[in-house]
Amino acid sequence: MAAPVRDREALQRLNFLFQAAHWVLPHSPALARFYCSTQRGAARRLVLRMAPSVKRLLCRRCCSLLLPGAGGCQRLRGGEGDPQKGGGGQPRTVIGCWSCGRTRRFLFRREPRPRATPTGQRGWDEPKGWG
Amino acid sequence: VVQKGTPTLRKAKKVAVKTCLDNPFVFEWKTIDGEDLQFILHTLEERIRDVGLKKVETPRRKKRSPAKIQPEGHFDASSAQLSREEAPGGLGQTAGWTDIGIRRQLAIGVNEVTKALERNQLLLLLVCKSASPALLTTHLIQLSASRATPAGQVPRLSQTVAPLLGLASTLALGFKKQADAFSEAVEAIIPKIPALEVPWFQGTSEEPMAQVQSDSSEGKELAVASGDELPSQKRKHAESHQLQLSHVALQPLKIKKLVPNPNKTKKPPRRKKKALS
Repeated sequence: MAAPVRDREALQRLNFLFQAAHWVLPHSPALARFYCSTQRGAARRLVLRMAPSVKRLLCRRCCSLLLPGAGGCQRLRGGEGDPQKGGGGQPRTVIGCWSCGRTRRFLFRREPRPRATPTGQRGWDEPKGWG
Repeated sequence: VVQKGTPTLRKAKKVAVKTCLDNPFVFEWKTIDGEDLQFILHTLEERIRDVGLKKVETPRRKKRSPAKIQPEGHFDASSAQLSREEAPGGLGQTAGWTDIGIRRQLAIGVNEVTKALERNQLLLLLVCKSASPALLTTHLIQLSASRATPAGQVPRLSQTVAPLLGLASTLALGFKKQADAFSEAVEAIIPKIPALEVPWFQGTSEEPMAQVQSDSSEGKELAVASGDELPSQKRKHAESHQLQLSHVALQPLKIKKLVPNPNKTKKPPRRKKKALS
């Protein structure tokens, strides 16, 4: 199944902006923010989807790129020994933006959902390597 | 004449495949195997045993059986009695680490390692392969590459180190820069660890060398796109801030195709038309 040409060009543009933001971030976080906001605006206007792994790296408030090395801090919360929230709660990863201070929480799925058909993918980044 | 909408004549709808932009970057740990793995585990084991670092925990009973609901005053007394009975008779030590000074030279646990890496305090980082999901430790790859800290994934780190330290699991272990007790072990382990490849963070180390050379054409193109080199704007420090991006290698477009689940249980359609008598 070949994707329509119009979408492919737009996706290439998003891809370029995303990668350019990565390269530029160590030198100029403001420029990386501009690239990411352009990327998000273009995706919104053309109604293009982005994978969760891409959306997680973009701050929703200020559109800055949240790389673990520069831009955002990542912490693991929850679990048995976590004193926060009265004893843990669901284990989750919390990504905070350094420029605007907004945090986002992503839960970990403990048990993978059984799928009847391997082709019925929902496009979610399911954690692999469950033991 | 068969009416439209009869199940027998309803054609199968074409499955609409939706496309979405996928992340072109995939970062995975390079697992250390073979002799290097054995050497690292053996070195760590020996060193931790020599130092005698361990966390002593008094086992706590959190189980409250519904049949025995005691008032709070009695509960405090009973819990104190339980702790005395269950405390290991041979040690007789208070709960905590045996040597706090040495404990401060290490960063144990993913969060502590992340904080230490952000503050540039680590000399070496070891990560366990048994993390489930693997997302728990993947952010450490880029973080350690940005700080130029050697980092490696060791398959049985948690199984080896956690019992020695008295912990349930050790997914990440970092040695701080002032770790005098482990300096020899760190120096022996660092050469065994393969280098991490994160292209944009490796480029920053080459930048000071490239700035001395003449500007590349690719750097100029991207600089024009960013608006730094507009001839109308006079910036004295423009030369020092020019991006030397001749080594940039962009990844090809990666598209993820989303196929809706054909076995999805659909809700029965609403009947808008009511039979009018």
